Amino acid sequence: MSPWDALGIAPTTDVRAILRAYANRLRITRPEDDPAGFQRLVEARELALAWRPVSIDENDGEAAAGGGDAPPEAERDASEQEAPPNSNTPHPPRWRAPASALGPPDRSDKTPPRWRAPVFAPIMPTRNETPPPAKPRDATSDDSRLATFSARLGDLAAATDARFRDLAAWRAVLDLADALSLAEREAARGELAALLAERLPEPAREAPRPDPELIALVDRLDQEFDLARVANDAKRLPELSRRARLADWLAACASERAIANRRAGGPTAYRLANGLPLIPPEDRQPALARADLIAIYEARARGQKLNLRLAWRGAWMAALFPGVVAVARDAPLLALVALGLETIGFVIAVAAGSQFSEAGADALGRVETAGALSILVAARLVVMSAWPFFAVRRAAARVRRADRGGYSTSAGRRPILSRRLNAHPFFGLLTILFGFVDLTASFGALGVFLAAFDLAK
Amino acid sequence: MAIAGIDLGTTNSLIALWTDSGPELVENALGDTLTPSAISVAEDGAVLVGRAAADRLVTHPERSVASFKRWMGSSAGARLAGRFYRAEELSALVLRSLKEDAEARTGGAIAEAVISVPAYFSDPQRKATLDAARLAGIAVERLVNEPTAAALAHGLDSIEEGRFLIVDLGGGTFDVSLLHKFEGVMEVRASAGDSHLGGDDFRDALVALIARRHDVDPDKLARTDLARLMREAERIKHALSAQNSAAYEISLADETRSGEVGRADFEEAALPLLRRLRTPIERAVADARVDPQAIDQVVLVGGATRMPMVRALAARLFGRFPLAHPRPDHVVALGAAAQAGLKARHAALADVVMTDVCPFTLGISVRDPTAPDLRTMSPLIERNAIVPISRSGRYYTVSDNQAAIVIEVFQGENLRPAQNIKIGELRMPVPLAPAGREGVEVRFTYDVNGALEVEVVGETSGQRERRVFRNEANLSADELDKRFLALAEIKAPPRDQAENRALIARAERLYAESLGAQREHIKRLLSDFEIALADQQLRDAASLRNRFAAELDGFERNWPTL
Repeated sequence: MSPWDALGIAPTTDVRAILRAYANRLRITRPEDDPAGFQRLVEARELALAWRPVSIDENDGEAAAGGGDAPPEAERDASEQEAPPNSNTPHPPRWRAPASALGPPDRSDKTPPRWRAPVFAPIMPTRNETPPPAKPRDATSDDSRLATFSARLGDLAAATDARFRDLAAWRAVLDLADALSLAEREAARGELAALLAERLPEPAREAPRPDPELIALVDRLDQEFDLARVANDAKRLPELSRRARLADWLAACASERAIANRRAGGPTAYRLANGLPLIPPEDRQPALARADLIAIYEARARGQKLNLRLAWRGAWMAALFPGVVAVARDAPLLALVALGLETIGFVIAVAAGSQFSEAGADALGRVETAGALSILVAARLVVMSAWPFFAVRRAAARVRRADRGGYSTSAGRRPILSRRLNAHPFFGLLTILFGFVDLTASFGALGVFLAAFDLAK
Repeated sequence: MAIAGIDLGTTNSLIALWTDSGPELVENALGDTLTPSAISVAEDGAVLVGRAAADRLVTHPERSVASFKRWMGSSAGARLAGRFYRAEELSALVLRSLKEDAEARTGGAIAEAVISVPAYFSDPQRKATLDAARLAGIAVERLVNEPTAAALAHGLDSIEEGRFLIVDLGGGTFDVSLLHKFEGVMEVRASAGDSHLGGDDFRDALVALIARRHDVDPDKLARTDLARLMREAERIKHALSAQNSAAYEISLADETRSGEVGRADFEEAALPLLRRLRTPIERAVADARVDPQAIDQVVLVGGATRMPMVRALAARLFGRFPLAHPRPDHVVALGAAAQAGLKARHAALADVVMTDVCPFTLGISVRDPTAPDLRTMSPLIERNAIVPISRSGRYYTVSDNQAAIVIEVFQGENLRPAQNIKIGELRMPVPLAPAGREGVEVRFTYDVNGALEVEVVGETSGQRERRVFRNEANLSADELDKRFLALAEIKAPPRDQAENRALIARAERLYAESLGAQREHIKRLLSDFEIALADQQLRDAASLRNRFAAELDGFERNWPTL
């Protein structure tokens, strides 16, 4: 079914006729009652609005090809300045690097200012071709405002590195931008993004913090001009490296902002301010929950003493099952020590136990019992005291990773065993083995203890 | 049975009904149309809602709470008098009081309502609003976006057609939408917003300004001091809308501080907030693909647009004076009532059709080897698509012998999934095959109520998996029932006592704010009133109350000169 059938009119470029037909059809195809029909109707309207007749006689090829990208505004009703929704890609590229992309622009060609270049045509199709219909007085004053802004921006673009980083100079330029109207700001945004994409150096990805001055600068510009939007659109362009650089800087800014926010308000305020779900109190586990870990990390970052009460909260688990906990903490060395100690303690305990049953109490038996018990207790003590250390270290690593990505750690239950354990059969086996040793050692120790108690009586 | 339209706001809430002559606001027991969104637990265990609770914020900050709309969708809440209330429950108490007002007006039951939410409310926040309504015993016919409601109210109000930019700056949220009205159709072309920006933030900027001047740390102030400071800042904010400077006198940490805030000082302190206002406006205009020159009118609604700096910003951006709505606080509620009228197919609205958009992008995360965490977004429904809408895409396995495809659903504009809001996930097992051989078709369907349905179909297996994300509430059904019963037991004071309660709370607040001889005066007035109430003759109560209210009015009016 062609869009014209759906609308019930003959093909036309008259926007008003299309909208009228759409309105009439809409009354019988209400969005609440017939979602599918409504969607078809909307799509038909978009197609109809984008439709341009191609005359066979004077088909010069260009009209057909150009129909997709350049809305022939002049043909249309002068009162309808709206671009047809489908005539552009959903997000038209708003800016392109100026011709003098690789060096500071030549000061001699200051006029005409760069924003006039046709590269911004997609956003303001009417600006260059047809003069804006209303307010010629405003238009001239707009021109001068934007021209001043552009000139100042050009100055900064040509400036030396030190001056390029000078926040005060930028602030002066941005104060000019405050007075711009919406359309001018759109042009200014493109120009600014192009300039930044040229001038910003490659961010050092692995460095803890890229250049703080530049971060402050880009952050400020981003808040002012929503550069992230430009960066997202830019991702669709083929010429990638420079756009990607801008996107990387913006990500670094977002990350800095996230860290600063969280430092300022603590995790809960941060999550609230960013619309992230909080961990419901009922989901928190008796052992260390994520929020606690973040709190510990925050405390460390601020140079405060580790919150011991918090850190020890889960140590009882380590005391019960040292081997399993050590594996779960991704601490292989600790796991080996725990397993070794436990095994030795268990073997001695079993040997001592058999002696009790055969020959009764003797001096040797008592020594061995005490030895076995102390080794088992030692295994537990080692893991128990190392547990908070590893927990904090892992939490710190996770928060650091999240900060690098510019986001907070996701909420949810914290698995007792790390994901790697669940995923890999070898680690699964290892956990089962450790669990077995843990359990037998625990019961063995209990048995030995009871036997020794019996003897003492 | 009538369907009501409710504006559940951060600072104030309103309820309106659709009548034959158009939408009409319902007054509460105190005769106001605005019911402050505040809850306070009285010493006798009664839960106060509205004006009385707002006044008790100053006198009993540990038993009162406001601005809880900001916590919707999270597990944050407030502990009042030993009981923990989630944001849903607090909102439910406000909704219940509004519902009672409307029922007192119509005489019948109000079981259904259209509730407005900020357009930028995410999925969990919308769910929380639904839960709140359920706790209040209201069936929600539809959630309508606040700017859409405002646009509807404005569109019905004005006769001319054209494109309108509706800028709605409320107490806690900011929304912008572009309305195109033609041939009796009201089409929202684009919505944008910031769900954590509103008049409260401007007040906080003032609080910070005053605190900085007197070298106090607002975080370290006692709760009563802070509450007083906030109230004073609120007063200054209002005063600065009418005059160029406002004086204040406030006792903080047992020390009286006074000074004057000029409009310029306030504007400087609020500059970062103004910048944040600009972004959504630009985004809405760009998304609607409308030339800023072609916008016929810029309409300001929401109480916070009374601030001159907000009007100046709009004027500067569009090069013309915006149209300030005469009753900016009421517009959203009126629009919600109109939506209720539409829903009920009211005869007066038979020819009006309203279409809305989905204000955010919905998509799934896909593998991208160039991204740092190997994943990027693949949008399915782009923001500001007209709803209801259904879109599908095909996705394929990325490694050999992949056993399943996990569809993670995200909401947000960011390229990196980790920086967007995750709504949920589905898992579809696929037959083992070389990479790229097996695939699924994912279909997103977004309906007029903002519920997202995701359907995944295995390409070779034909196996189907469907999930409507709206249906799983933040609280489980059992939990909701339990809390519903618990809330039902909480008794609000009877309606006829509401006025007395509000007056007493107001007198207490005035007492807390004043000093010396004035305090004595208020104390005497209050004790007289309470004694009279205690052995009241019912017919005397009204006149007594009026006298007391008049005295308090006179007191407050003469305040700065006393």
